[in-house]
Amino acid sequence: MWFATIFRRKSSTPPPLFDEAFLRRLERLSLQAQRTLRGTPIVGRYPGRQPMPATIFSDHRPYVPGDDLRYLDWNVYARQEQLLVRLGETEQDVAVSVILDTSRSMAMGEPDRLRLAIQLSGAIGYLALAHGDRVSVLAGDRPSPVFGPARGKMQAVELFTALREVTPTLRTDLVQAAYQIAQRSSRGGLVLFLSDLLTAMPMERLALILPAPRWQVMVLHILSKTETAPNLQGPLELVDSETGERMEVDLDAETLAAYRTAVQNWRSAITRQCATYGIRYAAIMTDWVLERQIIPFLRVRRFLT
Amino acid sequence: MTLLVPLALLSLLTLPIIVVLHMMQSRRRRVEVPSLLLWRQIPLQATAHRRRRLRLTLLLFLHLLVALLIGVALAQPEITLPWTSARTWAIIIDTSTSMALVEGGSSRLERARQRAAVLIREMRGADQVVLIGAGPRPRLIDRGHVADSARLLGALNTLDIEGSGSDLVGAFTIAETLLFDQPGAEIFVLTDGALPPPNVSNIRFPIHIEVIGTEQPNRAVATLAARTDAAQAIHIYARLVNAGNRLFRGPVQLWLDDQLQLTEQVSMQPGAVLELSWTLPGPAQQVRLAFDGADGLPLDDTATVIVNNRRPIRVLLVADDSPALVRALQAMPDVVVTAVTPAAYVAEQSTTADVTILVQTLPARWPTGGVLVINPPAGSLLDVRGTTTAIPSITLTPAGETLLRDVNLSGIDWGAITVIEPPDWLTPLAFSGDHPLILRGRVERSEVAVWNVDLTDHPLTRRLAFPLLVARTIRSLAPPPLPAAVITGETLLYQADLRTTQLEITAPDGKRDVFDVQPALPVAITLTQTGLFRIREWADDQAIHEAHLPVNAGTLAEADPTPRMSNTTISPAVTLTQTKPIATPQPLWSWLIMMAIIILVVEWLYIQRRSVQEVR
Repeated sequence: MWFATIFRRKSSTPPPLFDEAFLRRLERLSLQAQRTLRGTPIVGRYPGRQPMPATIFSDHRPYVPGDDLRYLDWNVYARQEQLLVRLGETEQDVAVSVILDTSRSMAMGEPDRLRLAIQLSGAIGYLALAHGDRVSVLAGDRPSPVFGPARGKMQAVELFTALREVTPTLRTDLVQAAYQIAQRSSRGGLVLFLSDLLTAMPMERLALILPAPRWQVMVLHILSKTETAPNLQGPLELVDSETGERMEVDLDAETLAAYRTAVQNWRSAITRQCATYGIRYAAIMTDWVLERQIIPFLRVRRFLT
Repeated sequence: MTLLVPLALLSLLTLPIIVVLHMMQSRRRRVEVPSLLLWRQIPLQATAHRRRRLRLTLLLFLHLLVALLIGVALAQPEITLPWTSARTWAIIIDTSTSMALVEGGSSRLERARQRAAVLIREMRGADQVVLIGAGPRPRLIDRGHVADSARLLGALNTLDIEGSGSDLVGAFTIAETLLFDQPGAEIFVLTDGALPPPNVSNIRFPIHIEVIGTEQPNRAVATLAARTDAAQAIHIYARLVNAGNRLFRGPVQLWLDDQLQLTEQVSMQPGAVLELSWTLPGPAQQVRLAFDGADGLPLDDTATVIVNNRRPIRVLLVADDSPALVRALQAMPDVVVTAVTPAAYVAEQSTTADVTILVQTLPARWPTGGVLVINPPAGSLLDVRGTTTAIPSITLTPAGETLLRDVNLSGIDWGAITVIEPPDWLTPLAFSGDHPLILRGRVERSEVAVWNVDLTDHPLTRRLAFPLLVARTIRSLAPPPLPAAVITGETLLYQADLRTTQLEITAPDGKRDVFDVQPALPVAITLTQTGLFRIREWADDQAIHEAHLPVNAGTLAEADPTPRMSNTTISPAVTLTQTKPIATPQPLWSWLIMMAIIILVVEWLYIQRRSVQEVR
């Protein structure tokens, strides 16, 4: 009966983020990182775009002092008396930075967006750690690292623990977070934004702060039905969950149709801006199931391979 | 519908207040949204303020309904509905002796009680029941509504046989009086029908006569009388009744002072009355006749009478010499005379005497009990103003006619008499000319008679009328004797001695009742139990008299327990001006408040459900 839950006290213990089987299945995937990214060679699994001295031959270049003598092509030296170094493709890691929007708007809806964002952060962070990448997670009012940078699968537990302790804040300055990421790493990397984008985030500024090709920026736009199809009717006073601003509206079919049009326009504008500035964008609904709907969707949108 | 507090309807002014509050509240319901970023992009005309109008929501309806219910409840409405007509029943229960007849394991009275209990338990709403006992004297037992059911049932259980005869007409009068303002009332009569059908022609209410009992045989001692003659022989007369359709044969036992004196076989034809008489040697005080009637009513199979219930009179004669008076007193049976001289007389002696005779002397205060003053001297108690010569003729006052009827006092030369100015409490019974000759009155606890005549060698003492006058005067100064026996339910007016302060009556079952006695006022005693009662008079802590009084159940009227009526309903002969039963107004405020509470609970559940849905 519906009223059986009236007096039931809500459980204070949040459910676990994932189960182990899901994590094992997740390890088969990897992040779709651009070859233009520069990471630490050898340690990662992503192919680097820069040829490096390697045993697997692809090209030669003249020897310069300091090169590892092990990669000198002694056969060429014997034939042509030129010191040439054997060049080849090496694998590298990628610095994966996850910026988690913890503003109050993320905590609204059923299920709330923040929970899904934390799950996605955990899944992507685990994926990166499992592939030897350096992972850092930023969250909070003025985003600060809640995890990392760290490398190795063994850090996954610490990652999940840190994510579980993330709580909603009044708002999150994503641009400031982008600045922090850019200042910490001059080499670049992959930056993943998990946000409802209800806080103004100009994509052109993001592109300037994290310019390609050193930086690969991904935006996971988490949408809830509370904004795409609000179940509201009649004369209302709407209160902004973050700013506390109020707005009086008389919601009828006409107004709601206008609102839905505005949402469509808003989403189209974001998609267009992201495309313009080379930012990979995907919109995810909160009522989607993580493994069966969101992960396959991210593979289709080439966030994951 | 009527409103007891119409002014409370002002509380309905809360209705428009609730509407206004709803308009204010429904103007803008506050909803928190993640961000106003998107809402601000709605075209302005879409969010423009429209004309505010009241939204008819379920909550508004519930609030208005609750306010309306509470407001109306405060006005204390009462509604009169046809089906809420209160019924009023007067239940008349026959408590005559024949109702004690046992049939099928229970007495008729017990079955009447059970039927009355059923009627009491059938009460609902504002119904009312009036319980009336129809014994020798009808009486209101109790009356009450549903809330008083337990008390009514308790009163019903205390109901018992009250005696011979059933005054149904009197019971109807009580019922009519109590149901005067209840035109729709009905009267139930629970009786064995062993009485003549009552005259109900003028009863204004429908009467349901429910006859309890069937035709049953009964044998009873209808009459028992006994007297003694000069030879102390006891002459006994008895009348036995065989009410039934079978011949009765059986022994009859006669007891004198609890000693079986005689057993005699009798035979009675069906429906016959058998008259018996015996002469037995005395003396004896008490005669009891008993036989086994082999019927369901053993109460009337026994009867007891007291042979001589006259109370002895102790006379204290205070005189120097009065031989004529002494002779007259000694000729009276049951009179014990004690003579003292005026010089030897002390007032305390009079407390043990029933009658004190003062001849030519007056004490400082009146002795208690009966006092006969003859030729009073001047003193503080009587205003004596010299002497005068009486004329031979005597004039009796109406009060004197009673005492001196058939006493020939004519032609007596009364001689010199004192002139008495009688006080207010003393009434002249006889005059000689203008001067009172015989006076009678009561003061405090003294019953005083005054003979204004000097009996010394007086012609009166040689007349036949003298002992008669003495006997009547002495007897009138002493309390009257008890009857030989009384019938159950009969009210006995017991005239106690003037000295009596308390009257103690001990029933055959040992139950003792004590009554306070006012001087010269008879005590009304209703004896509903058969057997021998003991009556004792107390003057403070001194018992001054003790007597026994038998109470018998058998009477000729109660001997035949055969129902002479059948179950019937008698419509009122007199058409009432308002034949439709008056419906009792039912207070509605409690129901309205209950409904308001229920609606509030429903509203709370509704709000909870809606909030749960909104959260989802």
